[in-house]
Amino acid sequence: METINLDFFGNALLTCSLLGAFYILISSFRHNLTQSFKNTSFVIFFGLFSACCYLSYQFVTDNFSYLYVASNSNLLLPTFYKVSALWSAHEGSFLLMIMLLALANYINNFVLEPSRNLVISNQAVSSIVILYLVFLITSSNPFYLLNPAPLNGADLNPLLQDPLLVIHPPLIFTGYVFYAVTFSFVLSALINGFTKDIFNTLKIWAGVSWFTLTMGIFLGSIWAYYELGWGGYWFWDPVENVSLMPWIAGTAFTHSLIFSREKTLEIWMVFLGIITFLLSIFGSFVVRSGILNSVHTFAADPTRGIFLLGIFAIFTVLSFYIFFTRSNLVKTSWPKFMSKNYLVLLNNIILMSILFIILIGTLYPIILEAFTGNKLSIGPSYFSNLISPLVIALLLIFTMEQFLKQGFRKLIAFVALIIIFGFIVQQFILKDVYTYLVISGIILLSLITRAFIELLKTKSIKMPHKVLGHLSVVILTFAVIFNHNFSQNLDLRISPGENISAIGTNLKFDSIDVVAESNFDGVKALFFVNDVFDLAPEKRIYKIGGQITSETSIQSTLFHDYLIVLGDRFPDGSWSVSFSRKSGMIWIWMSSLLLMISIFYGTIRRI
Amino acid sequence: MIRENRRRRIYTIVTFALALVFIIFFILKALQENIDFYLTPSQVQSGEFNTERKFRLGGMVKENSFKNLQNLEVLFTITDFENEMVVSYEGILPNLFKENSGVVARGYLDRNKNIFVAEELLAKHDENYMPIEINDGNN
Repeated sequence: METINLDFFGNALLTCSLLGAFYILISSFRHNLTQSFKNTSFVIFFGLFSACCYLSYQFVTDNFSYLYVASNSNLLLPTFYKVSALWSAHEGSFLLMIMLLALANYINNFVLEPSRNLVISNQAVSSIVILYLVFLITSSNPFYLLNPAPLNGADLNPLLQDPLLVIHPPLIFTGYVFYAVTFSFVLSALINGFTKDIFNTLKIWAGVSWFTLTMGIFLGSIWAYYELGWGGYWFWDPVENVSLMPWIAGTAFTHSLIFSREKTLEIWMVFLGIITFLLSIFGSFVVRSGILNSVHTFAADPTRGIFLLGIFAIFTVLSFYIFFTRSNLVKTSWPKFMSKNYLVLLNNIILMSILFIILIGTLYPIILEAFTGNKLSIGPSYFSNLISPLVIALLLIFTMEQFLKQGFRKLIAFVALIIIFGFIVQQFILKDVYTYLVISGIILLSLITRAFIELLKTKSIKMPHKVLGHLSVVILTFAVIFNHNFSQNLDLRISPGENISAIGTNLKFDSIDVVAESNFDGVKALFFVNDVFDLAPEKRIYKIGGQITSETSIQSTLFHDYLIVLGDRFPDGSWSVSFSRKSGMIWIWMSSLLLMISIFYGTIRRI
Repeated sequence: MIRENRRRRIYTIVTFALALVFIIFFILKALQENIDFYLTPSQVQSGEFNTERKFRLGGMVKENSFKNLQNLEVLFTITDFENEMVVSYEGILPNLFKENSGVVARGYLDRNKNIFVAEELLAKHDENYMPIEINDGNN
């Protein structure tokens, strides 16, 4: 008879951290407001860190008596993936996420001087830790023991056996939890007042979280491109959307911190800070609840969903309660029309509109299905049609901010408004891609020229992170439009030894061989493209679970990527293959890297 | 100064309001244009749904129905165990595509031939995945 028990040591570690978090929360209300929580926050972190190490150890030593290990690992799995299997499913990734949150809190307590702000930050973070830990222990406990232990485990999902996927999910979580820390300081600013100190802390944390989340999304996108194998890097899949939403809100939030200099619209900044945090919790709810049928939803359990939704509801109600009781809309100072702050606010509004579009596009099918029972899906063109004109407007506005003085801006503001609105309307009728390319091209050139002139005149560039960041966003936009409209794909049937001319290239199918690895069997084909380089796509069948995956083979060049996916074998020995030429991929990756560099520099220069 | 601040406030709030109206208008418009309904063969044949536009057809690939016509053109039948529908598709098949297994096809209904012309077969689901309605029927 098989029984399932709780593992003592693992749960003891979790409970220890939980008690630590309770201690911080309770004592922060009772004692003087500047006490230090350095030691307690270390205990919380250390308990969770040990729990992670302990679970990793079970993975590496193939201890299948642990339910979590048995369902996510296997004797044949390479050791590297055994370690990363820790965060491959719901329980472990949640554990890792709480551990990171505790780490961030410990760093705060270690680095910052004890202050009233730090106390409130501690209160907020420890209540998040408590809720998450209670959730982890009661409904997704990674420390269950199976008796008797199975001899071998089920396999780790083959799609996850990829080095990129080893770091992509933890980075997204890290971004999320860092936004929780940012949120805790937003709350303390709201309660204790906006001082220079708190803005400095906020700017650093906002930058760090922004950077981490950007990197997480970037790596996820690369993974989708190289591993999912259909030549796309962004699918407007709900799981991708929910990671993009906090990013957009975070982008708006980071920019709104500029208002701090003139004390303009602080409540707007607070609002964005709260929204960003709530969206990040919402993200983990959507991904982990199984509410969507999507590639990323590997775990599906409705009880968890309700619990997570509960946590989300608690934070929404609490933070908006504090927001409405503590903020004073009437007394705030407002930005001057067409001043720099006004333009930043305008771009904030555009970003929030993009966010709103994505939110509706993601939730509408779920809500409609819940109420009417009709299933429907929203095509990618919903997102691209609506968002592209807004992105162009975004670029136009930040370029205008760099070029023109305020008086001038007012004058052309009305002209620009009419033109922009005209374009948006026109796009819905014409959908002319060249307009987009030309506009973003002009913006790109003018920004580069301006940076050059400034460099020549003054031998330096003021705020290089801003210039570089904006420039990389323009390059990214340009590359995405280019890719979207000039990429080509062809499905064809081809036999070994055959030559085919397709998409302006000469494709030769050289040979196909059988390959065998410890955890999968497969075939590997060899193609020559233009006799210049070769592509070797694979098809694998995993020994445990029998899942079939295609390994895309990709060759990048400066302007085009060539990729081949292997399909099926026909009785006559020919194969179906999908051959694509993707344009501007390198530029998408390069500009994203530039963007990350500029965010990184913009953040560390404050530390 | 108070007056000045008030004017700025009006400008800002008007900007917000304009943006909101504008965005909601375009979202509604885009929603109308870009929605695919997800239907089973029975729902298609019931005639209760608009099948003039593109939609997604979900169900199981019927046993022994898969035929390779020529080159990459294939023909198979999607069934929900009550009604069925012939689907044609040209292109590379998803890895998890097989008979007696769930599939979602995106495309349009060719009324003359009474064939569903699929432009895209969805391969995103794992092996245990079943289109939900069929699963509901079994339980």
